[in-house]
Amino acid sequence: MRVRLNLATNALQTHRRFIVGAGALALLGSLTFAGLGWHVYAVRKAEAEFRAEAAGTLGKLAASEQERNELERFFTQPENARLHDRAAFLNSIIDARSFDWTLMFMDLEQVLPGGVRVLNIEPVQVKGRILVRLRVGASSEEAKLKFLRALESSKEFSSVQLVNDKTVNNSNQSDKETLELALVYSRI
Amino acid sequence: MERDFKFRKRLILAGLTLVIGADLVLGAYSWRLSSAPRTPREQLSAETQQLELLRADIRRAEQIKQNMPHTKEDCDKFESALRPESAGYSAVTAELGAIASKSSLHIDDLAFKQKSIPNRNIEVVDLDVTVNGDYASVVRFINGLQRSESVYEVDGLAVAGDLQNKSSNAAVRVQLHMKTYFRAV
Repeated sequence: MRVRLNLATNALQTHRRFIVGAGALALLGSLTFAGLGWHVYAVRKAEAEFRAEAAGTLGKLAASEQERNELERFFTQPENARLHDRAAFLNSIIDARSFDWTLMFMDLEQVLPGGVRVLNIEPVQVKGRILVRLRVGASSEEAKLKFLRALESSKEFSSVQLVNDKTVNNSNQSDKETLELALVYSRI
Repeated sequence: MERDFKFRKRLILAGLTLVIGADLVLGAYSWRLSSAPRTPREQLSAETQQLELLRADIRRAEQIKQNMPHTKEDCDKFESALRPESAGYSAVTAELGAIASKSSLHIDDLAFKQKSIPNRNIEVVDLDVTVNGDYASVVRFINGLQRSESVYEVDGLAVAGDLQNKSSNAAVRVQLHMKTYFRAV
């Protein structure tokens, strides 16, 4: 016959709860540590890359500035500045000469109604645009308005400004009014 | 046995404290890192844009620098193609007469005014030409001036008569303000 006897002098204590709790806490702490570590690593890496990029850009900017200064020094040398000035002057002659008067007359014909005649015309090239100062004589109010409307709706003539509208008192002249206009001429 | 566990428990608690402490330190460092002031992205993109503009400027300047011998040749060629000052007036008068006659136009008046351009090897001559003819002839005359191998720069024209009256052969009197250039010798 077998009898089960507990011969322990102290009561049995189990540490399972402590070990499980400590293990869970250790796992959570380790995971947090790994997450934070990864975050720090990523931020530092991104910051280092950004700093390297910014430093690189600044370096390139400084090198380019220096290159530009050298080129500026080259262009301001008397001989080179003279050539630049000379080329600009000759180009201005070529530009002025290239203005096509024949074409402008053809375009002007399209907007000039009967009773309006050109008295004076002066085209000037300013910054690649052709500004025209035009003086016309009109035999009647109706002809004048017809001309202004045609000019305003024209594709070739734009930015039309009526500078002066003067009544001619001399009864011997066919023009009853003279108009001074400033406009932009372009063939695009 | 119980004594042994107490020691292990202390060890475990110390380890846990260490892990939590490390978490706290790393958390604080991470927060400081994230909130630290740094160069804004906008500044970098502005600098990059500035660099691109600067490089474009440099490319353009380099191109001009490389073309300088060619530009000088072109300038010399253009200037040498101008009439010499010594024989300019006769040549201009003859050429204008020829263009006018070809355009069935009559030159009424021809006025010259020569001016030197400082620091250049060129003389500019202002020309006031008064011509008489119909509309088509005037246009042909201007066209002839523009097609000429010589340099004629028409600045403006003033009309007496109806320039646009091209249906009739009404004569108009046109005063042309132009410029031509002579090579100073």
